[in-house]
Amino acid sequence: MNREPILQVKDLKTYFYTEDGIVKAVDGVSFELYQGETLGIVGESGSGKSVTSLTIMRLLDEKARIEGGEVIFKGKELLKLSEEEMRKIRGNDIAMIFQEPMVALNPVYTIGDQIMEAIILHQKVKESEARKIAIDLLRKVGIPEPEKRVDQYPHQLSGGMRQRAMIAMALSCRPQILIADEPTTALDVTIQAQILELMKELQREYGMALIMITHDMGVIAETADRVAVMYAGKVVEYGTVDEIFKKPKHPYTYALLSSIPRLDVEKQELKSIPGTVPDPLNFPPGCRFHPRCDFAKEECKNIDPELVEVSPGHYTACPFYKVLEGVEVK
Amino acid sequence: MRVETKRTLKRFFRNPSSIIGLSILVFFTLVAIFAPYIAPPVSPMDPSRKIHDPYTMPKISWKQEPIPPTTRKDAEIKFIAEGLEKYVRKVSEEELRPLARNIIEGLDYESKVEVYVKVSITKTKIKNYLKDHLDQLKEAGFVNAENLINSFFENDLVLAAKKSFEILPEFSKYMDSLETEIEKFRKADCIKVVKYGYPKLEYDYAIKVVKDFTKVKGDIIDWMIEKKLITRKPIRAVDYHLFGMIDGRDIFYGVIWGTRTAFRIGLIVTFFSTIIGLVIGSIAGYYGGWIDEVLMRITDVFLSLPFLVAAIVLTTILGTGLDKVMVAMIIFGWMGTARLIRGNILQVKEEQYILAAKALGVKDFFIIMRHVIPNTIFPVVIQASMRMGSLVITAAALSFLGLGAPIGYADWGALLNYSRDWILGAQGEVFKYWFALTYPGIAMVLFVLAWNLLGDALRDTFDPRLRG
Repeated sequence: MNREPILQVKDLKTYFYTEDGIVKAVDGVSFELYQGETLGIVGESGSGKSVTSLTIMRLLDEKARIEGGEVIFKGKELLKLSEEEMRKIRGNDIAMIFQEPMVALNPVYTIGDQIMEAIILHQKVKESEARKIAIDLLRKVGIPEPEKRVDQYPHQLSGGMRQRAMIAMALSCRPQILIADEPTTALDVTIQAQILELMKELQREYGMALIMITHDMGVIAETADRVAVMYAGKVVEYGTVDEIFKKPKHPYTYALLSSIPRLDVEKQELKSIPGTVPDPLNFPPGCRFHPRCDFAKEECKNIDPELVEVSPGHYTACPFYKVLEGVEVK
Repeated sequence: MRVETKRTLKRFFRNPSSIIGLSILVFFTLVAIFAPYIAPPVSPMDPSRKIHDPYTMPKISWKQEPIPPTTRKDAEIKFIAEGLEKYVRKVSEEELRPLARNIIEGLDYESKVEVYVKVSITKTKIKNYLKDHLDQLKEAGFVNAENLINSFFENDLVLAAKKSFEILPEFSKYMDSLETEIEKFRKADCIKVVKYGYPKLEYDYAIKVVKDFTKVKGDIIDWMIEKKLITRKPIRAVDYHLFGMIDGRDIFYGVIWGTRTAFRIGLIVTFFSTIIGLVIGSIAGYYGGWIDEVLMRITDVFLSLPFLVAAIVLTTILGTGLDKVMVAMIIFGWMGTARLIRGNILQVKEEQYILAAKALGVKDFFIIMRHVIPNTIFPVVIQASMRMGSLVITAAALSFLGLGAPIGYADWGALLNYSRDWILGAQGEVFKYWFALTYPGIAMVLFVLAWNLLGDALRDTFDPRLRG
């Protein structure tokens, strides 16, 4: 991988200033994204995955402040662009699809209206032309009878259809990066598989890079080329999907993988990670995962682990990663 | 037309409450539009319209009704010409001035009262004078004097008078004094002396009320229900007063023209208070923070004032009148809208489709116009239509308290105010004056009901959040 990354995130820090204190939702996240590649960001709820994506898009609300770091898109520092320049990048270069297709479409407009909105905005075409593009897009995302569906309202479509429409909207301007924030969480399993397949196909066709945010290790295994595992606002492990799944080098990744139910082992008790995600207002000292870690040592309370490269392109934030060697993922 | 629009319209027109509400409103709208034809205004606003001459007007007798009491017990007052813009009454000489004054004070608009004095007074006086001096005339050789004086014909009297000039040297002096007496009437501003030329004038004195259309007390003359009788008592339906009379005013006219008042109050107050509420609520909702805090506390302060008390205080500052009442209703009527729109905006702001639109690079202005407003405006529209009705009740309440419409203004509340003292009916006859309350009451109930039904139907069909 000697190519120039299309998107580079360096030591990103996003804090929320609430009445109760400072919530360090994203606290030093770094990763790269290459052309045509899929990066999976995985982690439990509240680990800062979504905030990372919203920070890249600069769509955070007033309470959040970007405290530091850089987001470099094709040589441009996104965090330093003016609001107007950033608005042109949104949708056009970087698009985003959301978790809840039920609420991510405006109920008062037809599907066509909403897809056309972005097309007219960024491509400066006439309405009739935009409508044609919208119908083509709908056909491309696998919506049957797109000529009819284009005039329907979101409530007339099923969940899977709406997610397809959302994808059509996001792809309307042929973005170079698509951020998918848990795109399949709200869908049932068969539809999930269809949507993932569709996204992979479209990614190939458009040659775009994809950031897949999810808490589902299965989705990651199926789609991602590389994975960033996040815990409590930090990337704890970062590497190719094969490395991560076969040789996890962080106890958290190991625990995540262990908690996937397996089909090939009978009557096995489903493992879970003890405890809960730490309170973001009050992270434990030292390694943030140590209270829940099976392999925790006394030193873990005092050291703030940095990412270290264990093999080319594979990083972990656990200095004691060697304990995992020889331990098989159950 | 798009399929969805068609479907929505179909759904709207299938809704029974919308059908009932709309039909009542259409009815009221027609009544309001055609009010000048249904109940022609008593005073001609149009100068080209022929002003009726009181003396050629058809006589409408009021004999079937008790003659209303007047200020003077012994005044012999009789309507000889009724309706339209003039009154003519027979009065005795000494009553002319006080009565003229009374009439002017009793009227709702600035008017001039013209008193016609028929010269026949002078004739009678000449007759009496000549009769007194009959002996003197006979002595002077005017043998026929008695016959001539008693003669029915004017010519004879003139002949007698001519001869008298020759015989009685002081007669011309007497005539002059009569002239000065007439002149006295002339000098008084309101009195006009008419010599001959009104053959149909049956009485020696006639009072003609001339309305000054340019100077109306309060409001446009069409909105005023003319006071036709100087009585406050309800009078049951007679002739073309279909709904009877109250306070000497035609209830039918009041109900018909009151429809216009109701629409006017409803539309103006709803429009302005909704606009104010929208602006304040949206600013508070969009910007949040301390702006929200300040605006919402102001809203709370306004909400904490009891409306009627606040309106009463405000009218003491501004003065009474329908426009002042409307101002008061606007000032104290925007808070509900402000809170509603603020709440909706706060809710919609968090919706994912707003974030999705932002993620597509849509401009803030378009996000507000295309995504926020359409999702927040419907509850406001529905609330506004519901309020249209209730505002009329509030205005009626204020009119009932005497704060609203000026006396005589065509307003349902004002009509109810007149009938206040007769709500209990007469002794032993509870329902004697039922009409005084029932007609304006029915109009008001129907009006409020119609707006509420329409509001309900609008919510059922158009609110996007109840769809699908």
